[in-house]
Amino acid sequence: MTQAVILTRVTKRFGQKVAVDGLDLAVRSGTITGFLGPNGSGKTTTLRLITRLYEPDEGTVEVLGSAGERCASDRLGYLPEERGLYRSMKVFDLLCFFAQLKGMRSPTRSVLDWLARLDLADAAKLKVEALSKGMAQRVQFIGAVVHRPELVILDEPFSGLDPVHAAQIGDAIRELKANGATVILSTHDMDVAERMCDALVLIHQGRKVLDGTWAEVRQRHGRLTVRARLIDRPIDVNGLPGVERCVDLGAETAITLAPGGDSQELLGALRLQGPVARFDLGESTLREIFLDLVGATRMEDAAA
Amino acid sequence: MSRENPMNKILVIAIREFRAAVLNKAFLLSLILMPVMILISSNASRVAQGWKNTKTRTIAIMDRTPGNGVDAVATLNLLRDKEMARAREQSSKNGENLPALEMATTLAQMNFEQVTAPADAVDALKRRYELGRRVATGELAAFFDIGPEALEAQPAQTDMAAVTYYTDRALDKDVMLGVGVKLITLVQLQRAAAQNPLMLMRKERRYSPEEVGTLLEAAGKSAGKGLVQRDLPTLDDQGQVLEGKEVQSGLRPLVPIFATIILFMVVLIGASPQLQGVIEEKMNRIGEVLLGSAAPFQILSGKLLGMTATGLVLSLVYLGGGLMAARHWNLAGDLRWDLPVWFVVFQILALLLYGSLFVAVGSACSDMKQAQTMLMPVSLSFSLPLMFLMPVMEDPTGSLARAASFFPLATPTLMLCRVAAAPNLPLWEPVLGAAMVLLTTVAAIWMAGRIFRIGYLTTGKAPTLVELTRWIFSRS
Repeated sequence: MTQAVILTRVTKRFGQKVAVDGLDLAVRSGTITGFLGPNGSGKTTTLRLITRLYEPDEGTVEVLGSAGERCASDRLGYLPEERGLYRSMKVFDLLCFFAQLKGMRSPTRSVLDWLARLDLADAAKLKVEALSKGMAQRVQFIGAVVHRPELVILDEPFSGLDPVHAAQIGDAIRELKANGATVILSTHDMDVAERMCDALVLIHQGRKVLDGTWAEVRQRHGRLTVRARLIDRPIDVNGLPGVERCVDLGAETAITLAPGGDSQELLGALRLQGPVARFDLGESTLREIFLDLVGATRMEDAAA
Repeated sequence: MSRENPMNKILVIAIREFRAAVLNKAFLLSLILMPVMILISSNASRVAQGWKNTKTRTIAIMDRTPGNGVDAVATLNLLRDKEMARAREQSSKNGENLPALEMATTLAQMNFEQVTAPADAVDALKRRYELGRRVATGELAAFFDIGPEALEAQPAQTDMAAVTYYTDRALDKDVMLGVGVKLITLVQLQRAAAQNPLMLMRKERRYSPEEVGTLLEAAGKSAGKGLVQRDLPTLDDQGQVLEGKEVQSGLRPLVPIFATIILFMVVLIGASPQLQGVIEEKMNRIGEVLLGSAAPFQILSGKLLGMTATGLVLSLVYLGGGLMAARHWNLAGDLRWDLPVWFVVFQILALLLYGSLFVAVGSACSDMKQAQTMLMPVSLSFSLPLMFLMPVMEDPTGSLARAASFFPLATPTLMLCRVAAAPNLPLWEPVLGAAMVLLTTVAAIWMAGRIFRIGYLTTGKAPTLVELTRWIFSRS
């Protein structure tokens, strides 16, 4: 199988609101695919359609080769955005319950291994209500992967984690992929998406606005960017050659070159204004592409 | 690893629900407290007897009947001595504890004081005042006044009591019933003697204390068997008429009430926490995790199964407690074998029916405040049948009882009450009732499942009736 998830012209409405609008999407098996999009874009609804929490109003959803309702639920692991744990249950019992619910008959070994791996061995006998937010987050992550699913859907898996434990979870996700699992990762953290994901999907207003590997995305939507500063005066952005957009960042200016724009020509134009203190040439980050696609207005708001 | 066995998931959820409900302090406390309370209440009178005040009490009797009076003090002393003699006899025969037996006799620890009665009514009132002061200081436990016309067949002062009891206590059962009732009977006997022409041969037309004592004891003994209730006579295999079984009159009316109250309590303790459980799951966002692993129907079925198991544990404990209490009072022989069977059938149906309604309400609400409003119709339908309990019990085969017990939401309680109250209720009635509740339960579970799968992921304001209807009939 080459595609773990195939959505074909999927539409989902809630009353008058169209949450997902004719979405076509394919997630390749054995990859980490990042789902990006602003709040309310339809990301979570799409994930819920894949997990069959929702049924589409139109179109078809095929998961791990089956299009029937819930037929693949045991082969799927899901970490929802809003965490849910029974507060009065002990961690070990709770994880065994989640694993058994996914069809595991003897989950003890797997649960203990995961607890040890994520530094939670001492918390096995604690009640969930006694856990810190970060510990509960890791317990929830284990609940999503303990049954060795073929498809793992993680909605904001790093929220509430310190850098050490975030790195632990990151390693675990890469290992899931190395073991053949397909991972769908929904995140607002563009750095994480850029670093971890093989493929990216950007959803905005219920529609897909970007889809492909990072290299493909950068090739298609990337621009050369320059961070520039003059020694004794602010940059006058009017009349700069080959420039698509400039954003005043206070101490310096972020300049995005238009397609075909020449950085050396820009440098020359800046030197005519005065001595140049900084001229850093780079490629667009995912964050910049995201903001670019979602709306220039938002970028300006974010910069301000 | 096994994959996708729907029954497994239902069982996994049921076991979790059962353990969550049973393995907590509140459940264990109620489980232990209930039989303890039954045992305590069944032994309360015996225990209380042991704590009874052993101090000898003096009771004064002012006899204002003409002549030598009715010999009340002599008669009461005679009766007391007989009671205590019997206690001694029983003690030596059965080896029972004599002080305990003596204390159990009503008149033991009582002294009776004869008070001379002034002929004048005003003086008599002053004497009663003096006696009252002695009661207030604790010298006397109480006093009785036997009126001057107590023996008259047609007294001039018709509003005057034959015997008046004066006390400063709210309730002193031994004095009021043990002495007061004996005095009234004594006065009635002497009044009859005063009217009896055969008594003309005597110097005074009165019974002697010995005669009154014998008559009082005879009256006491015959009262116990004066009226016996029996089941209808039946035929045996050979066609011989068999006398109906004697009904323990104390237990027969208690059985339907006890069974219905247990059923009601178990639903209340077992099913209503489902409402809170579902709301907590919604508030703690567990719903999305569960729905990612199991279908709404599986989650709902697991919850109902776990809840039913919890309810049955409660039922068995309470039923066992009830049977133990009945056995303790030698009343267990009056119970019919089919009653526990019907009890379990209607208990399971009531748990499933109301459990599914509670779950549906819980899944439609985001917090307990919303749930309280939406729960009102369910609570009403649940508690309303209890108002019909007495009329149904008094006439279990009447039209009202029949009609009310076939209303599915009332069937578990009222049909159980009818089965318990009417031994000859045609079998088709509880069978049809159970079948109708079963159909209603299936419909309720289906409806709850439809509400559950949408409501479980929905937060915010409670849905309107129109929205709920839409949820029930929508695709997703």
